[in-house]
Amino acid sequence: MSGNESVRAEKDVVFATADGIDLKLDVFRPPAGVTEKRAAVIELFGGGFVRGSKAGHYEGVFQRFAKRGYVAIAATYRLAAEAKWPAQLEDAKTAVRWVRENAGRLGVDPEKAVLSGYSAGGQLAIVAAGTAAPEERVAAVIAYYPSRFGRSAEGKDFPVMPEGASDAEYEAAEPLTYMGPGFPPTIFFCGTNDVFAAPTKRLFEALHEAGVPAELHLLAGLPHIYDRFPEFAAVSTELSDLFIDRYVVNPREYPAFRAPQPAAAPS
Amino acid sequence: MTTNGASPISIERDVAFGHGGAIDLRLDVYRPPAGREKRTAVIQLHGGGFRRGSKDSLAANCRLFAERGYVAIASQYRLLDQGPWPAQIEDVKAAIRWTRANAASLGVDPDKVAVAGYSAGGFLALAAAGAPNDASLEGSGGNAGVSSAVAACIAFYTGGGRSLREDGASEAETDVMRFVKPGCPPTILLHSTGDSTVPFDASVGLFNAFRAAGVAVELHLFEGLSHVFDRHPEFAAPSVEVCDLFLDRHVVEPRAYPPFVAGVARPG
Repeated sequence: MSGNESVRAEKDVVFATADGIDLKLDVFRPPAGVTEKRAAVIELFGGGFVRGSKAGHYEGVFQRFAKRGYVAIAATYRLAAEAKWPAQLEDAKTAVRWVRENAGRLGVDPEKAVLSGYSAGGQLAIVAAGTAAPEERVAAVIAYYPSRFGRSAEGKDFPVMPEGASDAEYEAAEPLTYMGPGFPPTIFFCGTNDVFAAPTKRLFEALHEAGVPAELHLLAGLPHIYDRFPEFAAVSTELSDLFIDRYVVNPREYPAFRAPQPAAAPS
Repeated sequence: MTTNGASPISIERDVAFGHGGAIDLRLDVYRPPAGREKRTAVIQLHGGGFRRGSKDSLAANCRLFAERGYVAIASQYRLLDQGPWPAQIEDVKAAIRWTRANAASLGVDPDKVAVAGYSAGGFLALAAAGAPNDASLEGSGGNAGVSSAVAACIAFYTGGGRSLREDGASEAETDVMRFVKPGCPPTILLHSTGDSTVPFDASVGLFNAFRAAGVAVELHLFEGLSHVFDRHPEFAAPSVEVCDLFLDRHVVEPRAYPPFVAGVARPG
């Protein structure tokens, strides 16, 4: 991904050490001249918990959030080869705690930390938000084609799960488990040709049903990781910004529509 | 959003395009700035429960579409006090036929005519998309024999046609699901979850039905706003942007996007 001089990046900040592994994150600050929103967007990459990194895939997305006034944080978490679930969940929540603890120097409000994730990162974001201790709380979630997993048809454990994991452990890693009252406002994205389209829609419906603000964008004919195509990344960031802006940055209500009588017309 | 740069959009108002009974039907044409033409028309249909509203209310969104390269056409149709169902869809079809017949002078490809509707207009858009060249709905408003098919459909906060049935139209004629079937053109649905005039379940039901019929369909559910959510400019802008992306890849320059292959770096 090409760099952008205007976004101020601070790379490879160690936010924790787990089992001898340094966990690092990158901080992207809004360029000078952009109104700072004093909100952090913590980004979790995808890759099925077996691959991926904060470095390559999504820097463009982080830059876009930073350009819109957010402090974007690309966090890392241990992959399956390094540690089994719930190590990933612990790392994600550790990143949230770090952001909240360092809110002052990051220039954000600790109550305005948002978790955002892609595929496995989306699943991680949801489960982290759904199991957060007070010091790990996030104000909203952005979930791109969040994944879910279970045992294989032959009963083999999913690669990131410890061998012989119980049904309860799988249930605890399932995003749908957390779609209930008290979950933070969430915006969901998925392409309709993505295997996670139906599960994403179900998450939205369950969250809406629970009375939690929830927004859904299902883009026709697009495959998994549709935002690798820049035109869709741009509009998705714009929609996320609008959602985060009105639920976190500057909470506000919009007046209800009233049908005009009788001359002046609605749209 | 609305920029009037060196090459602004141009607007031609109250062009007569046909007849609805004894009524002269008119439309407004919003042309894109020079150099930005996508050679695609989007016929826009206003809301108002089939009893109110006018094409004038479409100005803001027509401008947004025109700025993105589309020829946006805000079309009149008869309201229920001017003619019972199917007068409304007959007039919409007359507008589609007129647009196709005049494609050259409009600067569009005759195969690239899409329809966009809001609320009651969304119902008409879906009906036009789902019942092309249907003799029982074509009417006699002008340009007989020209195809009334559309290449794509945009439906904002669309309900099921209840107002038509309250006016005496039959359920069989006006159930919106009647127009959802295999072979329908690509369709994009937009709604807000806070809509109490037309609850968003209507769009979810349409989305599910289009999916089941194998039709390319897209769904955007904006959180917590009421009916006509796009009257707020910050929601109109991304709504028209997703419509543009949708039309661009399905109509303007049809293309597919390759599936993701795990472990392969992103293109570019």
